[in-house]
Amino acid sequence: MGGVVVAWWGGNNAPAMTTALAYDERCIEHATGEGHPERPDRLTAIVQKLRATHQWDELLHLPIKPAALESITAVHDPAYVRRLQAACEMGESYIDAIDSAVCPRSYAAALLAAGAMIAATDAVMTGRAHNAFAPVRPPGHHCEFDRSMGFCLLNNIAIAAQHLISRYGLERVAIVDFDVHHGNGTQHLFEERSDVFFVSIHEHPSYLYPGTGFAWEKGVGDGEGATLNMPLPPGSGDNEYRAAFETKILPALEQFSPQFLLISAGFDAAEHDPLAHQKVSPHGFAWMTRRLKALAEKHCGGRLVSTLEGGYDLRSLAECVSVHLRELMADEGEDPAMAMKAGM
Amino acid sequence: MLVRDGMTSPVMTTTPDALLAAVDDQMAERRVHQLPVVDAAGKLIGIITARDIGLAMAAGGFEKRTVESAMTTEPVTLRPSDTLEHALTLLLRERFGAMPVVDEQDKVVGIFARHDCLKVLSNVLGLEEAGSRVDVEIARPADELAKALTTLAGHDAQIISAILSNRQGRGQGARTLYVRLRTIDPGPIRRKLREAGLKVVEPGA
Ligand SMILES: [Zn+2]
Repeated sequence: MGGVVVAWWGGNNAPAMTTALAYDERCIEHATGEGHPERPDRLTAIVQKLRATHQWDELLHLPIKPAALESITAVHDPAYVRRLQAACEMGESYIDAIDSAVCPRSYAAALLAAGAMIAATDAVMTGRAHNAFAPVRPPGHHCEFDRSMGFCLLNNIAIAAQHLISRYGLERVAIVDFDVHHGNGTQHLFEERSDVFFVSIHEHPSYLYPGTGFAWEKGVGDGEGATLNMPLPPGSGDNEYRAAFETKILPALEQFSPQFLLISAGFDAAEHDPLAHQKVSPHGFAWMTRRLKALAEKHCGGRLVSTLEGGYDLRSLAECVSVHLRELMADEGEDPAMAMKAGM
Repeated sequence: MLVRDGMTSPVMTTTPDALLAAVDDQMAERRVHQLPVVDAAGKLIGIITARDIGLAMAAGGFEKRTVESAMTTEPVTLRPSDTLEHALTLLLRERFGAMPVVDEQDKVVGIFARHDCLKVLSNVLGLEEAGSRVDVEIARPADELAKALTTLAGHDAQIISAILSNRQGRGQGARTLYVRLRTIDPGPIRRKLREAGLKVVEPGA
């Protein structure tokens, strides 16, 4: 890793494909209690896998700082953030809904999860990295302006999108959310705006939490047309996802022509996930990642940051994160599956 | 549930001397298809619908016409204490768009429209609240229903709604229990239902 750093640090351009990892092990300290699916082991399993595949050594590891309060309150109600901090410090067991478990260290972990996204977007914007992945917890995409929902304490990806707009003056940021649940929080935070294009592909809301994300939710007012929801019936797999990407999602993103692509990468649409009923294989996740990466290369110089949302079957989660990263790390035109074979 | 739980209240009303043209504009603006007509004391004397106004337009002399000349007098009404079953059956049978709700003095206190029926349905299904759905096949209601409800009773705080399907049209007395749960993770409750020997529907399987 060090050699790579030296090689590009002196030049104007990042090396062809430096992928950064925005990870902080203090995110593991967010304890959710016995039997909770959003558990510390999720990150441990990912790290183990990345070490086993040696991807860990090829990634540029970013130092993480807790997100500044002003970055958080740019999308969240300050009163909610105070309430979250108080709930954690007072030793409450959850906030707003039993799903959203907290412990005394959860507030710090939430700030670091958001901070990891700030570090990842900064690294890509300044050219230190070509793209980045932030395996964080607590996850973010269900968290609303003033309310925690579905394991999510702060909306990490929304904080990152707003940071890109406020700090770097970007005018078109796209968020693609392929977590199996609808990204209700992210949608609601941006649905009245045209500068953030939000796409969510998920299991149909009649079956799955939270019950929103119908196809007719397309944005509000100035944001009309800047929200795209693709609910799929339960039992959908690679073919259905591929069709949705090819017919709707990719063309819509092409038309929006983002300056930065953010991904809410939940891996709970994987076949064995206990919270949902989809059958996406690691190949399916790799394919989606490849297409999104190609789109980022075409429209925004490759600027792409992905963050972990859900994914509750540890084996699938670790495997899918690994292939997701393999695609992000691949040189353009390279087939990561072949490259991996060659490397072995 | 009673009409007072599902009606829209307060409700916009109009008066017999109002011009139809003005009422037409008001209705378009508020996106309603009918208005109760009240006297100076607020007592119901009729109802004016979009259809009444349409017919009046076609008849000519529209600019000068008032509500009184086009309204339906003595409309069928509801009381807040009427049951929703009563209101729903009337709406269906008479094909009304809406019925005014009045108190003992005939004063208008609300309106119950088809739209309010849909809101009641959405509320009964628990669609306004974030949650997950679990369907349980009840093949032998005599013992399985008790098992299902006993299991669910242990998770009362998590239950948004539970509806037992109508037996009509289904063979052998089989029913489905549709449950909406206030959680992203219905796994533990699904597991307990299965452990109780119940058939939990696996979506997409
Ligand atoms: Zn999810």
